Amino acid sequence: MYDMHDTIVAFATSNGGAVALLRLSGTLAYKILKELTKKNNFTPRRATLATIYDGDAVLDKVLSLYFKAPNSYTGEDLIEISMHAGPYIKSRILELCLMLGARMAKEGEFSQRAFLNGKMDLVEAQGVLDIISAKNKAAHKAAVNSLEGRLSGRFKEIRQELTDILSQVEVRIDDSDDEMQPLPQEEVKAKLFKVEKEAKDLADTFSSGRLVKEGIKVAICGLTNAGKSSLLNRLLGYNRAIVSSNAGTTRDTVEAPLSLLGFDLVLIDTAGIRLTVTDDAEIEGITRSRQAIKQADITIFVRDLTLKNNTEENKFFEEVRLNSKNLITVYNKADAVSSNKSTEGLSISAKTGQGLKELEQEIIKILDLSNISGQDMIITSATHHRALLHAACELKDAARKLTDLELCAEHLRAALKYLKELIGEVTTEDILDNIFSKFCVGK
Amino acid sequence: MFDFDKSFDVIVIGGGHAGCEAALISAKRGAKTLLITQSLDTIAQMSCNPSIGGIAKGQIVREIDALGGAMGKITDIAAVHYHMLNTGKGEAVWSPRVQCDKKIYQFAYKHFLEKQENLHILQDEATQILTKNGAVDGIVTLRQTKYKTKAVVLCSGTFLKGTIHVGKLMLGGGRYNDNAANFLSASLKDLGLKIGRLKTGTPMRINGKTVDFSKFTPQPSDNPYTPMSVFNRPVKKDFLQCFIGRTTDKTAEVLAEHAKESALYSGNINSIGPRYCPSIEDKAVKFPQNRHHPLFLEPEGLHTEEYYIQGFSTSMPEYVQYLLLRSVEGLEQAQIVRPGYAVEYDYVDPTCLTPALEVKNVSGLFFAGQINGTTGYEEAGGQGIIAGLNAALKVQEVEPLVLRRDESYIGVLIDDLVTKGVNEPYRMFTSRAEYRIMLRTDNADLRLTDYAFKYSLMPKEYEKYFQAYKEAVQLLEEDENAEINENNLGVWSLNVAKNTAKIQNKYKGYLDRNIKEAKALENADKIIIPDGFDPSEVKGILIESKQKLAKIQPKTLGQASRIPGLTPSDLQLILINIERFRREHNVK
Repeated sequence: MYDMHDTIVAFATSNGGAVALLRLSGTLAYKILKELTKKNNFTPRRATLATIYDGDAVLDKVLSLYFKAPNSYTGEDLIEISMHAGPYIKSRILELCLMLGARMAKEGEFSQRAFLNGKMDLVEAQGVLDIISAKNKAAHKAAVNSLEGRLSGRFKEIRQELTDILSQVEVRIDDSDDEMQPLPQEEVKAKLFKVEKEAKDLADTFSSGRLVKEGIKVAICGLTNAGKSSLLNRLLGYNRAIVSSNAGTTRDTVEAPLSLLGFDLVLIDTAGIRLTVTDDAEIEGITRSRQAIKQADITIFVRDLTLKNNTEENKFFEEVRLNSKNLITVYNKADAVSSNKSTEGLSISAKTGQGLKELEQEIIKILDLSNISGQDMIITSATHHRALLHAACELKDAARKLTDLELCAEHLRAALKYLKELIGEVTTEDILDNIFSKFCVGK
Repeated sequence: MFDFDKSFDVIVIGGGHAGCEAALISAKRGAKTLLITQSLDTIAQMSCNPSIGGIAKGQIVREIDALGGAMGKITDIAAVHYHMLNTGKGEAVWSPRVQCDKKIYQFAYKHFLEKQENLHILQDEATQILTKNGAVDGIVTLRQTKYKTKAVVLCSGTFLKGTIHVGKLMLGGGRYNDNAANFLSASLKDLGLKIGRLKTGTPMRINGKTVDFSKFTPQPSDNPYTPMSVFNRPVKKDFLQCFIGRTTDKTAEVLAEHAKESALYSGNINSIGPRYCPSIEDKAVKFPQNRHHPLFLEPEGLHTEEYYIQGFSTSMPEYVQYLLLRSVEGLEQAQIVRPGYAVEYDYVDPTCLTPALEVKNVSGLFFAGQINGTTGYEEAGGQGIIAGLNAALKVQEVEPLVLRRDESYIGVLIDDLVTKGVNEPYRMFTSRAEYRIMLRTDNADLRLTDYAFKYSLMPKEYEKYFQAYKEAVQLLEEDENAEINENNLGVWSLNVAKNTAKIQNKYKGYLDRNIKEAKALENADKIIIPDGFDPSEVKGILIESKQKLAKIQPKTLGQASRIPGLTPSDLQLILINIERFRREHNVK
């Protein structure tokens, strides 16, 4: 259902860049700003520094602007928030806005409102119309194409299962002639549980969902003594790993959380690799390193600039290259060699901090390109993630209401409505078609 | 040709459940109304089952009652058995069903019509609808009389080119032994309307004297009972019983053996019947796994031994109908007094209608009931009251009443018809209502009776009672022991108020959720598509959407949004272009 009274939200800036601009327009916009910032007073048209909270935790420090209706671009209450452009912060703030009652804006919808509220003339409106009609055709095509997709296959399965369960409930509500046996409660409960789990599993594939829980894994690897632990400490800003020049000191993987421009990272310092090891503990450590590399979202391979074309290092690098999802190669100990030495990667010095900023930017670049969310994760949109979680909640409620069929149906209908965003609407005709094909319905 | 010397505001063609409600309400609204029917003796005839109401249908009767219609009141007069359905579930889906004495029902209705001011009743058959400059101008009848009118409400039921089927036997007729109306379809075709065929059926009637009732489970009436109309109180009544039995393996065998002899499978009937309420032969083919279907013996009246067998609708030849009866325990000796049969009839694709039930390209022509592809007395009555009222309003140059999906089943029904069309006889189910928890039998008046006062369809003095009743429900919601003076409620009842308040509280959370969703719908329905603006011409919308918009010609953005397949972007484009159109043409 299209509605122009909703409060809409979207980023006005595209991906990438250090700063992102979030826009909110509509009657709830100001209220949402106040709730996000836990601050009660904003002067219209004045840039105000504020803190965005996620519960009690600080999400970001931002610059906010409040335009009071009708003196705004859209003619409604309009909020603009300039914030750091990390994917996690961005998706989280969107989610918070959605939870507070906003919905995602459609393409061109801010301009559309500006036009409808008399803030834009006919010529300008034509531009908006052009954008929407181009998107309309593209989206329609995409929808047709994605029908064959793996993902839409799973959505359809979920929809079919829900349609079947709802039909079983609806047919009993509409059964005037007592043709139906009572609802097989245990069977339906088991089915509901299964679909609920499917929805939840799908939701869990959401990038930020996973990243929130576990953090983005960044493995640091390289030969023994390449300076991995020193790099870890340098990145953390404190001494986490035992640093020793005795090769093979880090026998176990060491993990440490790091917040980098709003991303929650987990840095993993792995045991150094030597091809000839006899110590059992060290062999075990190396096995774990290999495992950590495979599981990491980003791998930093630390080469030792003081080593020259080392066969062992090259061999290990080849192995890491093949086993990592996103690889950053750094050349450490830049402080110990002549500065003009050319390398294909990043020259750093864990000792002096040289090149560290560039390394951090490399990491952010990878996160921003969202390669991470594209690989093994399915749900990429905050809206879909939220829809699936809501649907799962409704299914849980439906299972609790199996003795009150009309209420059970309300929850099932709500679940289907949430899934509408992912799989299109299930209409009352769809349900009736399903009922008539399966059940004998009397007068 | 004889030109009748008096002209009418509204002529209602057809005296069935749609036509009677239409004629009454049009006259109540003050329009000079003529009701024309083939036979005064079959006015408001219950052609199929002897009951009014049922799941979702009972809700519609309450809505008709709340709007000032007659169906609920007549039902209470003719009632011989009350049964509240779905009491095993929550009150939101409780539905009253009332067995009626068929003769009392039709004669009580006839009497109502005869007493109504502004209403002229006439026995004749309409054969032609006359138009002038695209607007209704009059009708011509079989007796070659011309009546001038500004609006026509056509409620032809199953009579347009009706054909009766019993096995291989085919007879002309809209009901067994009642003539078909064979001329009017051509007139509709001339008006450019798309006509199709639908099918429905009815079971055999038997003589109760020949039934062994001991083999059936009696189903007594609810007692105390809830009257169908809120304006009636329970009174002492002579109740009749219904009886419940089941078909047997033997029934299934008979059906399998004689399947080909049914009019349905012999090739004689090509039109589409309903998938619900299927004939017994249809059940056997489509649901072979269910071998024992329930049967209900329902008395046809107080002064007759005739019984209707609900669940045994059939168009088998008469001798097979006997075999079927003999397969059922207790009906072995049953004597058929009227055979079951199927009837085929013309209907008009309802997407030719506006949400006011007016034909889009013929100003002043309204349709209600089976001509729109529906089935059921209640569905017919619900459309009749809206079509009749809107025809009167049209003549009086007042905006039509269009009920929303969140305020009534009637709104759901009409919106479905005119927005999606039909591909089988349309019957109401609660599953069709998105806002089921809001659309209950107990609150039909709270939802709709304000309209009755707005359009003067109820006695003026009732208004203060109704306002007091609304307040009472609100007070009781807040405090179930609130002091209410029942005298202020007049024809409304304190007990009902208490009950409604209790139900509203029980569903509170769900109702809030429904109301929130309905709000979005209401907002979209407030965006009127202005006259002269053709949404199918909007650049950038998908070709499929263009075709659908050209066919449906939605009146509001909300209606457009309910056309299956339209994308949110299509709607966005339409919205912006509406605003552009308004600015360019200076319309508000």
